[in-house]
Amino acid sequence: MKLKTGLLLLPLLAFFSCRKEKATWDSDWVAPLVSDTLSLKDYVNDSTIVESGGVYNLDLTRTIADFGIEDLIEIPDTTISQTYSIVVSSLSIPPGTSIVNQIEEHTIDLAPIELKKTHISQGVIKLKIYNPVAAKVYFTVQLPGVTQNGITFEQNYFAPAAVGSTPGTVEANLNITGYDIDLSGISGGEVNVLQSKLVINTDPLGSNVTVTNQHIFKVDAEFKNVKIDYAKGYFGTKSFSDTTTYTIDLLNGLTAGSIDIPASSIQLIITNGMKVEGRATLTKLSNTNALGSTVNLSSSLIGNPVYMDAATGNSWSYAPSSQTISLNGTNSNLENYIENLGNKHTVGYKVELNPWGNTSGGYNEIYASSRLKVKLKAQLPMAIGADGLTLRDTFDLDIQQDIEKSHLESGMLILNASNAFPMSSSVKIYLLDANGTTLHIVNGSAPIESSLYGAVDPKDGMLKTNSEVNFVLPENVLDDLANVKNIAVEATFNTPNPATSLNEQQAIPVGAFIAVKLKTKFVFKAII
Amino acid sequence: MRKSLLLAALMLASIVTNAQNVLPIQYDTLLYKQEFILNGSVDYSSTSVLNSMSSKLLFGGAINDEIKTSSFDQHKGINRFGVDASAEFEYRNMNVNLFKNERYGFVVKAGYYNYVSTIYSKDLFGLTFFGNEQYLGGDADLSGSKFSAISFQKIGFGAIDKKSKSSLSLNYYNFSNYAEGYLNDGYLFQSESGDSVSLTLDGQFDYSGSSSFMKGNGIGVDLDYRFAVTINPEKSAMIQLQAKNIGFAQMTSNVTRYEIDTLLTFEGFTFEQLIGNSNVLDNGTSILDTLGIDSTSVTKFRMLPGYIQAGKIVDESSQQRLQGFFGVRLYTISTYAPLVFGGAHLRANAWLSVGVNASYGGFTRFRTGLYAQSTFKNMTIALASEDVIGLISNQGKGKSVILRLRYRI
Repeated sequence: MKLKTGLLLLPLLAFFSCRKEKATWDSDWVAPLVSDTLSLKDYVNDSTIVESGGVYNLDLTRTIADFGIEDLIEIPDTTISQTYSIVVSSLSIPPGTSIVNQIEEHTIDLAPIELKKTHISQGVIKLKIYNPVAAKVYFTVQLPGVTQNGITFEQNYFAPAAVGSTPGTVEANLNITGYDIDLSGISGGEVNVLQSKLVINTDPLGSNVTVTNQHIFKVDAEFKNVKIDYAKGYFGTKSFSDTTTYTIDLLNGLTAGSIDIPASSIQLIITNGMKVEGRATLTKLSNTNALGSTVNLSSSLIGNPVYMDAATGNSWSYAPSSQTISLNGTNSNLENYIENLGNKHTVGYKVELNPWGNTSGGYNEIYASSRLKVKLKAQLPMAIGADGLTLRDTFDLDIQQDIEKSHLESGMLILNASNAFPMSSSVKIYLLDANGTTLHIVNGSAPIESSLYGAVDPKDGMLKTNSEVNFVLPENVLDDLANVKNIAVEATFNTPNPATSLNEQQAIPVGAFIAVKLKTKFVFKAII
Repeated sequence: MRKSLLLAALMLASIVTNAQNVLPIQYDTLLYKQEFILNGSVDYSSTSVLNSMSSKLLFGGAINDEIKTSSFDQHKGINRFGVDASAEFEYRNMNVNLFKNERYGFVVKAGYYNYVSTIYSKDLFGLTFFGNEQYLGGDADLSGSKFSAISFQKIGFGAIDKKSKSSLSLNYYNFSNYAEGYLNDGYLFQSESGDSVSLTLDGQFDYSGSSSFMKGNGIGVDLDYRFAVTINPEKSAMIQLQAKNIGFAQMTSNVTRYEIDTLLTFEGFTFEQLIGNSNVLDNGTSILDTLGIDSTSVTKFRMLPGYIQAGKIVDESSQQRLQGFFGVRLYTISTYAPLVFGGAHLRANAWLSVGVNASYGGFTRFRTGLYAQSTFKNMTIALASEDVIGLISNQGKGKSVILRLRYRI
């Protein structure tokens, strides 16, 4: 029986021996990864690239300094206080009687600025009136010289009676926005002088008011948060200097190579919208590229001040003056400077106003829209001759891959490009670990050809070339995929002339683009 | 060596304890005090996948292009594949009188069941095993595909009619693994160059990812009703009406449901999407969002994967050396087609019987089987295969091994 049983069970044991390995198979997949079009349109008018004459220009124009009236003149919070008391020991004043005080002058501390006239764009006067007598009194506060549409600032207030030795008070906040202020005093020859006048009226419906020389009528007027948008006078000697840095992100990825650009120039343009004379000095101009190489612009013009005329005209039609410091290949090392492809530019300047003192006779003038601007201007035609110009950028990547489980076995990235730029590009992909160490370098099978090797597409009139570039990802590369934490894409640009194959300057036409379709073709090993 | 023997013993035990098959249940009128019955089967079958491939899938090994292509060529529009690996132990005690009734004994049973089954389109097979490259410039139709993978265990107690051997038991079930899904509509369109993909998907996938062994509870019944049908005054046939694992289960651990109803056209990411601040490579969830897949947690109430079978069984007490048997089986699994079967049973001598059978349906189409049964003093051992061709040939579309041990006192 045992033998019979064994014979029956034997096939089962043989058939269902244990599973010694996993089932595996390969499958072939194709999937789109990227579909995008890169052009310079996104950069146009963002102050980096502009269109001019059918080609793109690299615009390095930047305003590096911009000053206005707020930078020159500041009105401090100022309190003027006017008091009045009778000269006799005691006086009984009938109802409805006016006691007129003389105009008083108050100097605002603005030195060395000497203002004759100004216009308030924003501000308030905080008034506080003190009534020392035991009867209500009407106060009229006048600020001669403070006018709006020709009407002098005047406010009337009823002040309650004093109680004992505590004066009756009244307070008010008055908006003086839009008022003109004449600071030339009663004589018209003063500067920084405010005027005030106080009129006291006894109550016309009241009884006689007894006033003694111990009663002091008082008004405090506090000018608070006053901003002006017009000033006339002498603004003093002012000096502005700074070293400022700006970046051109487009050039951040430079790693190697050189470019050749057409002759061009850089101008430092100073426009002066103030009726103030002065002088400006370019103290420094340098740039540093992504590789850390710095080029200082050297020229006899750097460090030497240029004279700035005052603006002319009036507030309705003033004409700023303009001065230009022009740097070019003949008076500087500009070509070296530009071809360094600096992404970080440093500009130092110094602007002085009234450097020779009050030579205008106190007739400096500044309007609301008056600006003193220092602008660095450089528009370089993007006729670039690139010779191995290499840009590189790095991106994070985190793809899990366990070769003991289902995984990508081998594959290929296939880049189809339609290139309307007159430059070719060879692309390399660096697979980096978490420390930035290069694990593998994947070279493109061919360059993306320059548009100059192609034909005009009648659809858009652009000269373009179609290229296919394969990036083979063999098994040993994909086996390392789990260790890849960053991917660096490096593109080396050249601008070959199709006739000579030599790199020459090529102008980038307006509308140039590169349309990219990247797909992946890979073998997937399933393991179950 | 010791490990191998242990493993072999475990394998044997799992095989021995299964019985969802057409190996003829034999009607035995003899009354025993106690019976111990082990049924086991491992059966996988397909309408289209050749053994050269399915054996690799189940038992491991590299599936090369030749193997894949051979099976792919067998596929039609809609195809089935199923694995049934189950085991059941049954103890019958007819020495006691259940309910104080001499007619009834009691039965205790326990079982372990695994079902993996799928209905799928030819293109789904093609995509899975060949990838999408061969569909460039065309479309792949995935519609109507279904998938189910369920493992559960049961313990039950019931009454058995000592004379007819009919029985009824009430069972408790534990679900240990559960995953089900379907695609009502599924189409993949691709451009010739592979730079554009359109995907239409309307489907659902439920998955219980809990690490707990007990993921759901169920209640159900097994019925084994046997009765004689008179064919003529001298001849009758024993008919068996069998229902196994008929009931319901409620998943107690949360089931994650992935639903998709989307038409997606993809031509590639933009550079901004790839390398921008919230790039898709750094954010896995955005891929699901991009595909329009919603994920929710649901509770699940479902029918147990059981079956109902009716048919003529072999009468062990018959004087005829040659008997026929036949029947029909209906599963509660939607991927299982109704199965009809029939066969002939030959009693070769006092201790050996052999038989042949044929079936159509289930997870495959036509199959032929063989079995042998040895009867000893206290024990019967039966060994069968429902797919003889599959057992011996790589050109078959499944394998089946069934074992039944019956020990009686």
